[in-house]
Amino acid sequence: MRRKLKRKYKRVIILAPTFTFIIVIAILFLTKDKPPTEEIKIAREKLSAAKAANAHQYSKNLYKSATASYDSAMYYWGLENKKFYLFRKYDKVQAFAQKSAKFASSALGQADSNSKSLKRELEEKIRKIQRKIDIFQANFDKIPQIDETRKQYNKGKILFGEGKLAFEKANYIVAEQKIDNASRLIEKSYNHANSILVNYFENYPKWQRWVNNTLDQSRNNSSYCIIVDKFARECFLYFKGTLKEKYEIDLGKNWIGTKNHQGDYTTPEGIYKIVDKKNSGRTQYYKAMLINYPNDEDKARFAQNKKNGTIPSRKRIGDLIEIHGHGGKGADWTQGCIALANEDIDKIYARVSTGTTVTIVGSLRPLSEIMKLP
Amino acid sequence: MKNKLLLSLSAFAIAMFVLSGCAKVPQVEIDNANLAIQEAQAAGADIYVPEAYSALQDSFNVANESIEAKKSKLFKSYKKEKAQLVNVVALGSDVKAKTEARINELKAEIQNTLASVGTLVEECNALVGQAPRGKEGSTALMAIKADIATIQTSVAEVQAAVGTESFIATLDKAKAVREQAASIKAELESVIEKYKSRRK
Repeated sequence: MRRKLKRKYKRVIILAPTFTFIIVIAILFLTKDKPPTEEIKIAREKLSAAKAANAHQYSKNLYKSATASYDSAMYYWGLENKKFYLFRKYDKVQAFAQKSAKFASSALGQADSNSKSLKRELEEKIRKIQRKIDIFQANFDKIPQIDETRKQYNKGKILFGEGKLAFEKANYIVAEQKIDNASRLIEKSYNHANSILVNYFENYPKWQRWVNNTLDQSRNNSSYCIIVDKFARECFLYFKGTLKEKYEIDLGKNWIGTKNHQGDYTTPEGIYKIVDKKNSGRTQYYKAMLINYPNDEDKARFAQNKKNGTIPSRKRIGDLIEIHGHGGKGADWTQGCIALANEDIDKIYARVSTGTTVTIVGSLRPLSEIMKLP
Repeated sequence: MKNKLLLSLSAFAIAMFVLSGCAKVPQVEIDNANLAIQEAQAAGADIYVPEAYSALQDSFNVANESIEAKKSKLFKSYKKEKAQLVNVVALGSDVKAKTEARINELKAEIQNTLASVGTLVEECNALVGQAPRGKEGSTALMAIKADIATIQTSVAEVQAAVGTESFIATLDKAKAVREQAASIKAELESVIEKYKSRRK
């Protein structure tokens, strides 16, 4: 009886821990964490979508956080997998995966909105720069002696072209960099050229006065007069204050400003008279009409400039400023004369006589009007 | 009876242990795939074929996740993942080849663009010769000559950039220079055309 009891106890002693072990294992199996496969997959897919939307460029920080969280999730998944099967816990991995997916979604949204707003900004910048280029080409291209400015402007134009190409490819980050650099160069050259014209156009009220006086005189005396608009490269023939003809002209290459001395390649500005008419036998420029440069005002200014040293003492005032033929070249090539195409000089030569007033001004239109592009 | 029970318990434990850890992680394949990605990146795949490069990285990530998912299981086999990784290696070679092909395309396009710029510069120089000249032979087109000189400087810059900067950026630069050269030529042609029409 005692022996039987002893054997029974022995069996209990052996089987109890075994069943306990099995029960523990079974509990561990049943309560074991599920691998975070789905969460990781979602995070990866969202990261791919964010990258496809260029979030790595337009939402750098959020995308970086999303990638770092994904990497952490994978790292901790690997660590957990090194543990004994039944003791693995994936909550940290899941948390990182969810964080990654969240960051990636935000990065996608931010990238979309950032790229759209950058695109809008760039469109505006491109429009502004293009306008400056158009103004430069229309009005500043003919400004003399701005070689360095023109060089900067050309470099800016090339950079602007690069920027526009990047913009067309929706590479807005590169486009922004190129367009900003181009803008700096174009802006600088634009401002320099613009300041030259602004200074020049300070004389506009004086030019207006000269023109009005000349037209009044033409009306009152029933006579012809000639008005020259240097900026527009145009010459107008009036009779009794009424416009009769308009001609294109070529000027001296340093056309901005009034003539100061001989050899400055500048066309004078002021109110002059035709003092001689030369036919083809007396001029090498088909037909010519000599004006009375230097007039009293020119002489006084020349003397003053010499006195204050702005003109070297050896310089002479110059003369022989004419309205002549051989023009129509579309370029500023004279030494200060006003050149018309031969068929135009024929027309004007036939109508005017010595004593006709020739008023030469910088512009008939104010700068503000010139700057308005058509 | 007691011994039999102990024996079967031990056998179950050993079987569990063996089955849960018998399949080895395909480390060689992982290393090869990694190497293939690195080689594609070194060739410039992320710059020149970004979509293909992203797809390559994505395939590798999928394989990696699948491996970790298998590691998380009690009974595992990496056959499918091995095949995935072999595919990644093949895809890596393909992406690398595509990158090299794209680079060669870009190089050829840069050279063609520069050649057309060269032709435009020659044409501009010839047009300057035809442009109206004034008294004492001085030309009114000094500014345009300076513009042409800027183009020539820019061509030299593009040539220097080949191989040192991204070929995409270099090509854009070459195209922008060509556009500028073409606009100078158009400007010259319009001046000459105007001059010729007035002389008729």
